[in-house]
Amino acid sequence: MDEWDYSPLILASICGHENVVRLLLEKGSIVSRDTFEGSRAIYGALTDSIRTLLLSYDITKAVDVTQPFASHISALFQKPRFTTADLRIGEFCLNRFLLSSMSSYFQTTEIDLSKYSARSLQFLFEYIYLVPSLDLNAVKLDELRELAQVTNLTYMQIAVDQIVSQKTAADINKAKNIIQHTMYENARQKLKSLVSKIIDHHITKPLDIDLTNADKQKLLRSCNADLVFKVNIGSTSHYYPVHRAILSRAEYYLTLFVSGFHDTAIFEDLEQDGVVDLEKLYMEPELIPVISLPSSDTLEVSQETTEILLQYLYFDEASIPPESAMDTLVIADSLFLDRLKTMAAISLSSIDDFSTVNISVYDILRAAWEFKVHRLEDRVAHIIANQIESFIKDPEFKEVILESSSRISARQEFDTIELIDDIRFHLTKRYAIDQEGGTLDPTMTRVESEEYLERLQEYEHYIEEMDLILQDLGLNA
Amino acid sequence: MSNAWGVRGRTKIRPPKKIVSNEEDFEKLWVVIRNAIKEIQHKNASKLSFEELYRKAYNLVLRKQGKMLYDQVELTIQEFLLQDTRKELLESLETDDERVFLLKLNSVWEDHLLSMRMISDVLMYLDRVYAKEFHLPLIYDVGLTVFRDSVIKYNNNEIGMRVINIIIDYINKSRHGEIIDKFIIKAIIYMFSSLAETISMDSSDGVPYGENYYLRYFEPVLLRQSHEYFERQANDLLIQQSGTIYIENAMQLSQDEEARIQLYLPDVTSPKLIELMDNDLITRNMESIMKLENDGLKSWVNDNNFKMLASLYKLITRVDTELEMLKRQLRAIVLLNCEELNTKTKEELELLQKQAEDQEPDKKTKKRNSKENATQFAVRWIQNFLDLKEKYDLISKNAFDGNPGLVREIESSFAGFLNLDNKTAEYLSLYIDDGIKKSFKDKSQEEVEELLDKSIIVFRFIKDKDVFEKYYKNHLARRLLQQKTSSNDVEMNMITKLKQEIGSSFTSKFEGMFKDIKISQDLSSDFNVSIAGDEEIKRINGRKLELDTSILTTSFWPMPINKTLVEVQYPSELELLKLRFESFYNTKYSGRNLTWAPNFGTVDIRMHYPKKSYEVNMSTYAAIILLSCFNESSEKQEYTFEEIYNITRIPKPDLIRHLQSISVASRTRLLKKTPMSKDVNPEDVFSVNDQFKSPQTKIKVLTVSSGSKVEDDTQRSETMDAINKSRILETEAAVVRIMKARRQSSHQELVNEVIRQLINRFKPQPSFIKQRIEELIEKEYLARSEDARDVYHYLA
Repeated sequence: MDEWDYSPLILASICGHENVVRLLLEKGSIVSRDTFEGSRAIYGALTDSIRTLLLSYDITKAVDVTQPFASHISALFQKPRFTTADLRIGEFCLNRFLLSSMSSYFQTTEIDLSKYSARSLQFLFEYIYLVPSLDLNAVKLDELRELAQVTNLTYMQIAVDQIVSQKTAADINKAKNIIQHTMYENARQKLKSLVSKIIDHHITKPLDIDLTNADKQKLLRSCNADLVFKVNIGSTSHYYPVHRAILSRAEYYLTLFVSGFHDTAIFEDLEQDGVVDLEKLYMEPELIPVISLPSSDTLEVSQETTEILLQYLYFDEASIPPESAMDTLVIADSLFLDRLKTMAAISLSSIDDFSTVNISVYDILRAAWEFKVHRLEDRVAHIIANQIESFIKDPEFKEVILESSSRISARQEFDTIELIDDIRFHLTKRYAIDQEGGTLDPTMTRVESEEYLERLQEYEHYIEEMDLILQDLGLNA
Repeated sequence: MSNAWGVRGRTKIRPPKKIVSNEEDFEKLWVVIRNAIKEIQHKNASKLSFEELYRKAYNLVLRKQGKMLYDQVELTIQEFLLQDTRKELLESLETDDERVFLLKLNSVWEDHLLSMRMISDVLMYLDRVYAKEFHLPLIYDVGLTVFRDSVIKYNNNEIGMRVINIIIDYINKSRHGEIIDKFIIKAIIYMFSSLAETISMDSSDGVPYGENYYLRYFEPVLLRQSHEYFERQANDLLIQQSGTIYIENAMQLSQDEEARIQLYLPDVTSPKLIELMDNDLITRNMESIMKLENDGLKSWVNDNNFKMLASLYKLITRVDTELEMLKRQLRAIVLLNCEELNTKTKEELELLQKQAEDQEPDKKTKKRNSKENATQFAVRWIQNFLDLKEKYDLISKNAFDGNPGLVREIESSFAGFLNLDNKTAEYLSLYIDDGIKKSFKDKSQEEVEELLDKSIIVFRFIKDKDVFEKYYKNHLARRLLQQKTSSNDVEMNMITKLKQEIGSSFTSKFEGMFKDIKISQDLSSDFNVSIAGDEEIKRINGRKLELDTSILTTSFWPMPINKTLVEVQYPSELELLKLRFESFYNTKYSGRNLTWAPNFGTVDIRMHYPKKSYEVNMSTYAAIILLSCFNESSEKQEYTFEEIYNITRIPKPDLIRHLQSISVASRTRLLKKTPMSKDVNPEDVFSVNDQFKSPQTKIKVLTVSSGSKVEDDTQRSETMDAINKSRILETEAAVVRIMKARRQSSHQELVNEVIRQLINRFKPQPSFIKQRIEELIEKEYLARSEDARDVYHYLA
């Protein structure tokens, strides 16, 4: 890096030295569109052929969506924050639910892989846990192939063959990139099936009627789960079998699991040598912990929203229909799931026609303030500006202006009102008003088209109207 | 799940419920949280539900009651610390012993940290939403601040100062060798470091950012106490007036202290404390320690006490990598050692002489004359100097880690001493002369090589190389002419070494001298062949006459052409040979001037006495005296000094010396002198000594005062005059050379260039160069520019 943070790769790229770029990439320079450096190299590329070359090495090319998901799964194997493993094979501590989701082999109770070397097993589990190294050093290929066959992991066998058949280091890296992508997609599909299973097996009871011990047992066994997740929906309570390993993706649950309170303290007693004895838990179902959402007092959630949360946590799926977006926003906020929060906000921003949904622009604005989503505030200002003619007469509009102004504690006379500023900005856009006022060339007399003058008039009209409202409210802005 | 995103029956999206906050609701929720905090503080958390507590705090924050919650939490934490924790600690202070108290403090602290972690876990939403929005410290940090203010600093730092005093006391005990619980010290200091004095970046109270309780309250006391401790230690050691004791203890003290620092003091304090300690132990006292007469730097150097010197070096390096104080002291001692060289050498010589006398008490006649003694002195002096130099080399290598700064300092001290006067140049030349003539004979090639290399070491120190050149040329000339060189290889080896050292221009004259001798040998044998059948020579002598000549190029050799020698009258045999050779030489090299220098040569004469014949080798002068006056065909049997002088015209001082050597020296008394005194007077009468006897057949007449001797003061000042003259010439030549090339130059440029060109030979003073320039202007080689006074032009 030089003093302007140019990496050798960026310099080679923007100066058009294709051979240097190729050399650097082959020697292991990292290019990632997700990083500032990576995008600088790609978008600064002098020629198309360099750009193509860079993109062919882009490690984030397809996996950027799944990255946080994959690294969470890897961490469960490599450096778990707390013990969730419930299965020991050789020296490895593993999660039975994950293994059996990936391969039917692990669904049987008779697992015997003792004849395989630790190195082969390590490769296998790293593959399952999405560890991106795919390191074939010191691996006996024949043994690994056999292991893949025994465990029904055809994908892994193909992956190994693909890596072995590459000749140059660069080609191996390229192949690994592709394989990683396949690994992630494959894992997401398998976990999607798991979520379907969770939903299929979930139990519904009248509101706040507890599960029987038999229910609990059955529920957890169905998915090798270690927790019951309870959500009150309308007049019923819904119980889902869930996994601490996955829920801990949310910081709220991670803290809950590690903080030493009563809620999940039972697992400390069940743990031995890095593995939790789930069978023991199933045998004493009254000890099975039941957890829920922190927002359960204030928010009535729907089954859809619950499922969105599970899908996001288990396999990173996050397409949120506008109807569920508001609830998802609140839940994501309470669990500190920032990415899900952003996605909910995007979904809310996509509402164009408020007549089809049962929610007002003001509701969205207030939620944006409440949960600090600036993207939504701006979106609302945009919507209001585009329909200023109707909003200007709406009494609730005055109300939110007041609310907006009160958001700055100890308001000074010269403080602006954020909402008004945003609307003014979007009005200039709407009417395409030239804020600079004039051309750069003073010799040119500006010929204002009639159409422009009309727009300007209209624009000034609404600005005036808004000022009147402010005057009315006794505000200065 | 195909239906999951589809619009189901329920399409209503509701905004979150609008919650209006009211006091009653707050109380209802807050009571639960407050009780939970108390339970956590009393270590009863395992019964509490995280979910329930989090949900309550979450709801309070959503209801905009974050500020109330935040403030109440702080008060609740404070209440417990003030009422329970603080009181418990004060009680412990009264009743328990110090260590139990510290352990209690630490466990209270650790419990508090654990409580705070759990409390802040439950209040995560408050931290993330409320505290963040209002830029307040996190609840966890609030807990630390409350601990600081309600426990440690409460009531005018009551507990804090007690703890500080206990710990400092512990550290002092540890310094005096008591075993203490270092883990508790480390733990308490860690606690103090965790208590920040500033939370926000904008410190309005003048406390720098990053300051903590340890830095603000503990460290200053520690440093003050440490300073007192080290100062006391240093003073106690100083009283003993022993460098060894001081240094060994200082090493031990600093080692121990560093171990202590490593064990329980934080990294920030380490450099401060070490600096303070080094200042008290080393910077302030080491110079006076080094100066101690009997057990200080001087005695360690004299005794080659590498261990102490190495310790000293190590200590001083701690405070000053430039080692200024060591350099200062070392220079003084080096100079002292150098000055001692004179007395030391003298004492050694006296001792040697005494030993020689003791062994052979009868041979008092062997007592050397003063000049010979002086030569021995010079040789031994150089030898002693080399020993001294080697001693310091060993010290630098073994004790000072070859530190370049110290090596330079020692060398420059040597150089300063050796260049105080020009004796060194002469001594060195004598040392080499003595070696080549005598002492190298029975040494192996490697030993000789080593001695020559050592000579070069001394040579390097000498600034005025031209002075050395002068002496070396003189000594070399004598060696060559008197054939006293033990080996030509050694001579050439020495010249090669000098050449490698400062270049061929310095040695070209030495090489020329060698070439002259070589050519002369060939020439002589050619000449002798040519006169083999010469009838005239046969007739004069009837026997064989041969001549070996050395033809010396005047400019190479140091001896000036002595005009008075032209008057010397040669006996007929020699005169004939001289004439023959002159014509022989003229046919070989026409147009060259030959000037004879009989004062350097020798003659072999076969002398017949009634009982025995002898082959006598004597100086040419002696031969002239014998052949001219005491020949078979001489008119008289006796000649007075004056008569001999009139016949031979040998310069009187030389004549006296040579007469002495053939009439006074007991072994070679070829002539009888009346009266039989040692001195030669004009009225003295000389005649052939018929009774001459000698056990050997071959006799060598030693000429009085031959060989290389140390110069006396008059001779030395003559030498210096000669050198000065040649410096004038060299400087003027340099000026002319430069000006001829540049045509014009400023004064300063010219002076600089002259110095640059001459530095290998001597360092001319600018004033000296200025005189030379003025001289050259007078002689109209140069002229001052009319435009600028300090610019010169070259006049063709």
